Amino acid sequence: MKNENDLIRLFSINIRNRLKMLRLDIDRLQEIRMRINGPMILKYAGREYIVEENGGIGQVSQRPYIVVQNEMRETMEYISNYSLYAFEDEIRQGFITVQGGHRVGISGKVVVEDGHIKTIKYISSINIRISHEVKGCATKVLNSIYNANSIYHTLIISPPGCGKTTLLRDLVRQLSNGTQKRRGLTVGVVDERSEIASCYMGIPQNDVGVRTDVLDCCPKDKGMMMLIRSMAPEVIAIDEIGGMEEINSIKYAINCGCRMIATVHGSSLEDVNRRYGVNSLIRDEIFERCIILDKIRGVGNVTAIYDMSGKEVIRL
Amino acid sequence: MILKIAGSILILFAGGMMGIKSGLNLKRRLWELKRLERIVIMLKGEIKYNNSTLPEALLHVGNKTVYPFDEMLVRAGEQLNEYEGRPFYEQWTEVVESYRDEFVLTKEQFEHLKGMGESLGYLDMEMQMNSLELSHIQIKNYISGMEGTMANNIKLYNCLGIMGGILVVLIIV
Repeated sequence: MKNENDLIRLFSINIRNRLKMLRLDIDRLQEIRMRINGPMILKYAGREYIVEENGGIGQVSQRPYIVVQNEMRETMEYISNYSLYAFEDEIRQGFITVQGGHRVGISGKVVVEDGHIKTIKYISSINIRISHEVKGCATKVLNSIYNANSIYHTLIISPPGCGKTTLLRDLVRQLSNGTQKRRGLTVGVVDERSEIASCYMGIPQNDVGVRTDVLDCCPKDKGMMMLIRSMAPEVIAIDEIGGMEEINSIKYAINCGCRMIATVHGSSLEDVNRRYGVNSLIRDEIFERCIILDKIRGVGNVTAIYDMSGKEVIRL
Repeated sequence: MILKIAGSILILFAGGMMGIKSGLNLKRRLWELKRLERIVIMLKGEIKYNNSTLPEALLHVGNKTVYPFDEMLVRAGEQLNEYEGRPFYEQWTEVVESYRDEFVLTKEQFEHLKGMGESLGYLDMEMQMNSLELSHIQIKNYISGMEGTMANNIKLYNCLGIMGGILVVLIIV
């Protein structure tokens, strides 16, 4: 369970007090959205609630609590730990990852210089996505990805918010720790957005297993190369692949003998197959197992597992 | 008569000591400024090359320096990590102010130390570097100003101490 205080202290004093009054169960809290001159909206246990002026919450609110500009500025100061300059690269990508692995999405006025995004100023809205560690959520898929000596190259496909990072994290933990029947594997994690291990000052805040090495905040393509050269991992885990460099690095890593677990945005195998770049991994039968997630029966619902030929191995 | 002589000797001794103490304070002030200069350089390195946040940078540098800077920086870093809900400058000023008696810096130099928190954390990396560079230049100026006159000033303080003692003896006796 994440520390509630780690999350609440990211907000301005007024908002902190209101959130404390709500006595939220952080395990059920999914998102907090703030917009200047707008209400504060929580996504809690799959439903949206508006924070009210009097400190309560409701799905429809007559007197919502309105976030003012100063509160947004103050909140950003705490989110960045008084150091927005240290998050310049992340701000350019539109998000900051904070202690605990929570991801803060940012929008405002984008400053462009020479065709490149320089920064975002006048931050007008933020969306804090709460990171959840669900130990044991990968147990049901674990046997499907084990082969005789190691694991199959595995791709986790899911739309945003369906729990692919959570599943990946637990897979990493279980593969790294091993089971009574299977020895633990040395796992290298390239955690570009600090969402898998949620490292704080280099130390994983999430349990990623005893044989796991984490390259925190490292670009995935470069990180894979670094891990292969320095840590000799048996398995490499990466989240949200997309760029051509990453795809080339995956192929390189596989040629080096590493097993690969990766996640990608998508709703189905066909959907991913239509995407330039990533589809080459499917077409070339790089991945031997594809796990499809949705949230029809709740976040992290595994709908099917396919093999490299697209044949369903298991339907859950 | 013996009492008068003993008293005079004590006054002369006290005057001399005051002069020596003032001279030692000058040396100590120079040492503090040089230490502060190193701290600014280390902060620049932490922020630019390690991309550390301010609390991290203060804690790292604090752990590498000596009293009273070490305690002051670590306390500031820890306080910031508590997310008390107050601006950086306010917290920095408060912590630095609480160590006023541990420093022999002049009022102007101490105000400069407090003022260092004014622009830290504000805007981008370039701004942090410029702000620290400005502090660095100012501290260098303090140091060069002191180094040029320190030897003479120490002699002057020693003489003034003894002369002051003699004056008091003459007036009293």
